[in-house]
Amino acid sequence: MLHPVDDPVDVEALFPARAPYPTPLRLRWQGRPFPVEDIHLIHERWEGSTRLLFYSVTAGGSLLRLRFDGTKVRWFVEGVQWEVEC
Amino acid sequence: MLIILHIDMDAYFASVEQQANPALRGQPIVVSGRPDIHSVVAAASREAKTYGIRAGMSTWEARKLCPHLTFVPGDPDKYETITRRFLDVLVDYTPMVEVYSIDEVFMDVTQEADRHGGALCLAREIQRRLRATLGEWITCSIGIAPSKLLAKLAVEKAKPAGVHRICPQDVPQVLARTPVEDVCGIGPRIARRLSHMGIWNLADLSRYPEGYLRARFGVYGAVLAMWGRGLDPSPLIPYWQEEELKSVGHSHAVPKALRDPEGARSVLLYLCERTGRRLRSKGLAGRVVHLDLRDANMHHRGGQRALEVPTDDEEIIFQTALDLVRSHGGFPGQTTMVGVRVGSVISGKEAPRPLLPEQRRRERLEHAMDHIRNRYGESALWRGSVYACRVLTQATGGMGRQKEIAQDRQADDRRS
Repeated sequence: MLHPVDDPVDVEALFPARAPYPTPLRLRWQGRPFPVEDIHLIHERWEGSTRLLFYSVTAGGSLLRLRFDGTKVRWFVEGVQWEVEC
Repeated sequence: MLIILHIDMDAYFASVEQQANPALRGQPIVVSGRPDIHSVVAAASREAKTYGIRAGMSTWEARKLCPHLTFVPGDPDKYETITRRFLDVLVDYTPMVEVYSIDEVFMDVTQEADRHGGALCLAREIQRRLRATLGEWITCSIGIAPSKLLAKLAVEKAKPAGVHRICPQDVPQVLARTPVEDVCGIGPRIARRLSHMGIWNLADLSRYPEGYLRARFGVYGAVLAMWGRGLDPSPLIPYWQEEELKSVGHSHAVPKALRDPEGARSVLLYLCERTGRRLRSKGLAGRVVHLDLRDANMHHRGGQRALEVPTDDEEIIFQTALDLVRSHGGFPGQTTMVGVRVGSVISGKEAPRPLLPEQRRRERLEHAMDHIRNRYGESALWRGSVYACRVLTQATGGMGRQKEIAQDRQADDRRS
C-alpha cells in the first residue's frame, strides 16, 4: 500500500499540445533525481474550481503518486511505495 | 438489421486499481468500502474471482474465501475519470452511445460498422484503442447482436477481454439455451413464477401467448413477450438525449463511531446538506422527500413525504426527513445506513421563492456557502454539527452516476 506523504517536488514535465494531461519526465525529490519510468494511470479530481491531476508512476523503481495542481502549477508527492515489483 | 455493441469493462474498479498500482497486478484484490464500515465487495479482480469472490458479497465472506485477499478502498474519482476517457474514445466512432452504467455502454453501429470492415473488426479496434488509451490492465468485453437484450447476453460469453457475436440466424438457438434468469430484469421471484408456468428459457417464453403473460404480469407481461422473441422494448438512448434527473439523493453506510442516534442524526443532516447543494448546483428543486434507514439487523425503515412547494433548501429537507424519522419511532439504536432522496424534481426557476425573512436569509446563506465551496472545494466549509461526518467519503452519489456522466459529456460536446 502507498505510504502517505505530502511533499512538494520539482518535476520536469512535457505539456503536449494535443494531449489532455502534462507528462512528467523526471523529478527531484528529497535531493535525489528520479527518472519517471512509467506512467500507469492519470486521473483527475475537482476541488472547487481547481482541477487536480493524480499520476500513478514508477520512478526510480518505486511507485509514486504525484499530484499536479494546475492553478498553482505545483507538483506534490502524495504517496510512495518503495520497490515496486511488476 | 440493427447492429448493437455492448461494451462492458472487465472487473472494472479492480482492474483500474491494478492499472494504477503494478504491485496489485496478478493478485486477488477487491475494491470495497472502508474496513470499519459494514461493507460489500464493489468489484473483484479476475484473480479474486477464481476463489469464488463476487461483487455484492460481504467483505468478511470474501476474506473467508481468500484469507490473503487485498482490500483496496474505492476511489470514485479514478473510475469516473476513466469512464469519461473511454467515452471520449467511443464517441469518435458514433454519437449513438448510451451510457448504461459507469462501466457499461451500448453503441448503435448499424451505419458505421461497414466503414470499419464489419462489426467484429470494429469491436477489436475499439478494444485496441481502449487498451492504448487507458492502459494494458483495463480491458473490456464486447457483445455484438441485433438488439440490446441479445448484446447483453453476448457480452457474458465474451468475458474476459473477448468479443462475441450473435448473428440474426443464431437468435433461435440463443433463445433456446438462455435461462430466463440470465436476462437483466428477470429476478429470482419472476423466474420462479415463470417456472411454475413451464417457462424455463427465452424460447419457452416466446411460445407462450402474450395475452396470457399480460394477464399474469400486467404491462410487464408485454415486456416479457418481447424478451422471449429476442427483442428489447427499450430503445438505445444516446447520451445526448439523456433524460433529466428524476431525483437527487445520497445514502451512506454509517461507520461504527456514528451509529448511535446522535451520530445518525448528524449523518442525516450531512446527507441533506449535500442533497440540497446538488439540487442547487443543477438548478433543480424537489417536492417529495424520501428517507431510508437500516438497523444493525439489516432491516430497513423509512418513508416519504410530499412538501407543499418544491425546495432546494437543505434545512427543509432535513426537517422533513427528521419528521419521517420521528413518525417511524426515531433512529434505531444502531443505524448502519442512512439515505435521503428528493424526488419529483422540477427546474429551480419554476419553484416559488421563499417569502419569510428567515427563509430568505437562509437562502442567501446557502448561496454564499455554495460560492465558497465552488471556489475552494467541498471541504472548505463544515457545519459544526456535522464535522464528525468528515470521515465519510465525499462520493455519496455512489457509482451509479451515469446520467450525470452522460450530461457532462453533452456539456463537453457543446463546448467543443
